Formats: sequence, structure tokens, C-alpha cells
Amino acid sequence: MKIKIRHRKMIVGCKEYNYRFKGGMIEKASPVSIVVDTAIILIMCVSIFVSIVPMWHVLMSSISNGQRLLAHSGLVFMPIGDINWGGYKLLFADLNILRGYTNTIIYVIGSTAFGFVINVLGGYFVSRPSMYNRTVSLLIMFTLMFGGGLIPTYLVIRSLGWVGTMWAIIIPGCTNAAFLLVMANAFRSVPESTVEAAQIDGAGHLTTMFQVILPQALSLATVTVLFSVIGMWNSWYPASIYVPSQRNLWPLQLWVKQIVAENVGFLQTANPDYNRYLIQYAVIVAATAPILGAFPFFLKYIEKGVLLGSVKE
Amino acid sequence: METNNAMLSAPAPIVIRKIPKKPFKVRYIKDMKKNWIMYLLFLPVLAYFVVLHYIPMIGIVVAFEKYSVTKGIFGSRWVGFENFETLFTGDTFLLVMRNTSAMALMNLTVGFFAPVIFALLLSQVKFKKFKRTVQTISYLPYFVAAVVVAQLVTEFLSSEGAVTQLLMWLGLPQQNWLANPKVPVFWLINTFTDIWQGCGYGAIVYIAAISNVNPNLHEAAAMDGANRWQRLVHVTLPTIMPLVVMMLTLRIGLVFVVGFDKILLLYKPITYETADCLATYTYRMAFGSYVDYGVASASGLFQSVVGTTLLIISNALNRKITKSALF
Repeated sequence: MKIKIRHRKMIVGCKEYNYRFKGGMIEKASPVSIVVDTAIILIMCVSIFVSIVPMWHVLMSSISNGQRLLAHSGLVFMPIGDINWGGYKLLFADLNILRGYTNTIIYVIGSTAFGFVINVLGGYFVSRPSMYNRTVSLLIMFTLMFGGGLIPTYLVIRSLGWVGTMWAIIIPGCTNAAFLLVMANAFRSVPESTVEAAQIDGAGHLTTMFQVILPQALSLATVTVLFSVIGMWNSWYPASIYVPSQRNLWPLQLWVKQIVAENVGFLQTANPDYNRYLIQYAVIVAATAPILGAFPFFLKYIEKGVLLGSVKE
Repeated sequence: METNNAMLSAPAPIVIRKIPKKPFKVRYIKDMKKNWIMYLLFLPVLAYFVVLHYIPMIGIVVAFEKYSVTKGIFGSRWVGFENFETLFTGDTFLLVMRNTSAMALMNLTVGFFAPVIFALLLSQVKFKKFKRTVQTISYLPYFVAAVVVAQLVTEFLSSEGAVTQLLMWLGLPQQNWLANPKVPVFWLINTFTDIWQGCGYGAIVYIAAISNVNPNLHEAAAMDGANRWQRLVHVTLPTIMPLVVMMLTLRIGLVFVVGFDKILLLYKPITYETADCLATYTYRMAFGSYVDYGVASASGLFQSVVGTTLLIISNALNRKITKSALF
């Protein structure tokens, strides 16, 4: 009986606080707490603002009037002047950008597919009992800790004859030990009884891998695919090393870098086309929109992936 | 009767015989018969890791050679530690080490605790929908490409940019901040760019951990008269502390390895003095205007060794403090 009363009223010192029930949790309504809540909500609003505004600024700048934008300083919340698609028209008239899109798509698909195969085959090997799977697992983990570094890797890839070709971008970056071990962990979490049942029914390794284990670990396998796609879409560094002068092989991100850097000089022409100024904004939008547009769809996998990677056992 | 008695009094001793390990050859043949398809399927993976990860480790010998492109790895002249001498005695090396350590340190302090604080603040928000929205939006910057981030930073920190104006309003002089070679400027830019990009994403783990805190604990604390602040400090913090420590030690191990491509995109010759770090120095030595593969591999090897050492130390720390380890 006494306890029931304590739920509703609590006497601390001489003051009497009222508690109310909300969602099973006792909460106290006090002025301090309201101030704190408001402050936290304000901080959160600021953090939303900071997260979104840079991209919004670029989006709005890309459809502004170039000449007036050039004179403007500070944030652009709404298009300056009339909505103007001139920047995008100039951008997509440039065949390089379309070529960049195609290349990026080739790299994303090629590298993700190749990486997936390596991850599945390697993950299966590491996760199934055999004479060598422990040794191999250690050998793969070692590559996480220590690597040859930039130059030796470059020299190896050059001696393979891949420098200046697409292979240098697709193959070396397609997977790494972390992804493979994540896949192996996903395979280990598949109930052993299903595997045994299949093997008693006469399933070999191929059947076990593709029809028993992989379907059951598919949601975690999707996570690795997703991270590979995002990573490859955003990557520029391997391309800048391995295909620096082959412009027809450049991915989109390298074109973003190039166009932004080159665009500084356009004002020096006698009669500058101010839409040229918009290109550097348009190209950012063009390179970022696909990944942010797909964002709602991969949201739940991201959280799953992060928690999988960090919380071990 | 007699036989019966004998059986009762002296039961046959149970001998546990150790099954002798079959000779290697027998085991090998049995294993091969059972698993040969699996081994066959593993060959491409093996090739991948050997060619792209283990052969480059052999290639480290370049660091001890006067490497020349025409002679190749095995034909070049062996010079022992000369490349390392050039590296360590060069006047840029000290600067590079200073910058690398300073940025790593800022990454480990400010950069590390920003997501923790963000998660703790977010846990205090009561409206579920608002909380979810904030969390979702905070991931967004993480998926923006490094090239684009660099361009955004350039734009916002230029002498006409929005951040520069904000700083002017706070009383700092108008300038292009990226071209400022004074000591903490580039380091701060680097750290805050990292925070902008990674704060929400890094908070995912902590948010999950906080939501896993047993609500009974909170209720019990509230019953005993603990206010929100006290509950935060005495209930939430202790429960997520092991995770925070684990993530911190992990971060120590990785701090030398990751995240230099933003620096590569943001630094300019004018800010080399404060922005140049080990990875960018290696990159310039390999692909810049003055190419020296020997010194570049020496610096790359140095970076690898420091990184691996930190990783091993952090793993040992992790094992000691949180009783869990990566390897």
C-alpha cells in the first residue's frame, strides 16, 4: 500500500513533487526539465540544419541565375533570380559527364559483383569446418592489420598490366578482409541443423552454399553489397592513381573534382557565360543525388551493418 | 553363482582409449575427398589475397632499395636503411609527424566524443517521431562523397562563404580559411569536417546501446528520487561505458590508417606546413612532381608499422579493460 502511494507523490525535503505515468516511465514535470528539453530540441534542430543545409545550398545554387549568384555571398536558401536549368544543360551537353556516369556504373556493378563472389566463396570456406579453415581465417585477418602500402601495391598492379585499365579500379577495391569476415560470421550464424539436413539429403558444397546457407544469410549479405555500392560510387582515389591520364576511364567523382578545379578560369574570357559558373554546383548535385535518393531504401541495412560490425558478441 | 560373483565384484575395467590421430596423409586424403570442391572454389579467393595483399608485402623490399623502374624490384641496388635515413632526417618529416599526431589526437578526443554526446542528447528527446527524424537525417552527410565534401568545405570556408561570415560575426577576420597556414586552422577544419560527416553515423552504435539499457534500472532510480541528470550520469553512462571504451581503443588502432583522402583533397602547397600528414607525404613522394619510390615505400612502411603497433596495443588494452578483443 505504501509503495502505491510513493508512485504518485514523493516527498523530498519539504517539497512535494507530482509524478505522472507515461509509457511506464515515471516523469517529473519541473520548470528545469522543460528548459532542458527545449534546449535539447533546439540543439537537435541545429544539427538537422547543419546536416542538410550544405547540400540544399548547392542544390539551390545550381538552379540560380549565375551572374547574381556570383555577386551573392553566404547561404542560398532559395534560387536567386528565376529558376534556371542552364547549368544542367551545359553539364549534360558535356559527353565526359555521361562517360563518367557510365564508368561509375560499370565500376559499381563490376566491383560489387566480383566482391560478392569473393565474399561468398571466402566466407563459406572460412565458416565451414575443414583442415585449413582456421589457418586461412588467420591469414585473411592478418591483411587487416598489416599491408604492403601504397607503392608495393601499385607496383604489383602495374606488373599485372592493369594500370591504365578498368581492372585496376574494379578488382583491387572490390572487397577486403573485413567484408569477407563479416560474411563468414553471417554464414556461421546459420543454424547448423539445416546444413546437416541438406548434407544428409546428399547436398554437396555448391548446393549447401547457394541453396541452404546463402538464402538464410541474405539480409546480412545485402549489407556488404550495399556498403560496397556506396563505397564504389563515392570512390575517386584508386582512379586518380591507376588511370590518371586515361580520361575516358574516369569515374564521375574524378570529373567532379576536375570540373570544379577547372571552372575557376571561365571568368577570364571576354564575354563570360555565367551558366558556366553553375556547372560546379550542377555536377555536385548530379553526383550526389543518386546516392541520397536511394538513401531511404538502404536506411535499415545501414543500421544493421553498423551494429554488426561493431558489437561483437 | 561363481561367475556371477566374479562379475559383480570385478567389473571389467573401462579403458578409455585415445583414438590415435591418423597420419597426415590419411587425413589429407579424407579431407580432400570430402572438400575438394570447396578448395577448388576457394582458389580465386586465395589468388585475390595472395596477389593483392601478400605479394605487396614482399614488395616492401623496395623500401631498402634504390628503386629504378627499368631494373624492377629484384634488379635494383640494395641500399639498406638509406631511404629511412633520408626520410627521418629530412626537414619535412618532423612537420609531417607533428601534423599527423595532432590530427590523430584531435580525432581521438573531439572527434571521438562528439557522437557519444550526440547520442546522449538524442536519448533525452521525448518525441519518438522527432527523434527518429533527427537520427535519420544525421546519417546523410556520411554518404556524401569525399570529393563533394571537399568542395563544400572549400565553398563554405572561402572568403565569401557562409562559415566565414559566421566567424566574422564572431569577430574573426575575413579570409579564405583553407589558405591559412597558421597552426590549428587546418587541423580544426579537418576535425570539424570529420565530425560533420561522421557524427550521426558514429552515433548509431551508442543510440542502440542506450535504447538497450534496461528500463527497470531507470524506473528504480527514479523511484529513489534520481532526477534526469542523475539518471543519465548514474544509469545510462555506466551501462554504455564498456562500449565507449571499446570503440575508443578500436579508434586508437585505426587512427593512423584511415581518412586521409579528405586531407589530400583539401590541402594546398600554401598549407603543406600544417596539413601534410604521413599518408599524403607518401602519396606526394610516389605520384607528385618529385618522385622517389624508395623513400615513398619507406614512409609507407613506417606508416604501416606504426599503424599495426597501435592496433596491437589497442587490442591489448581492449582485452585488459573490456575483456573482449578483436583478435
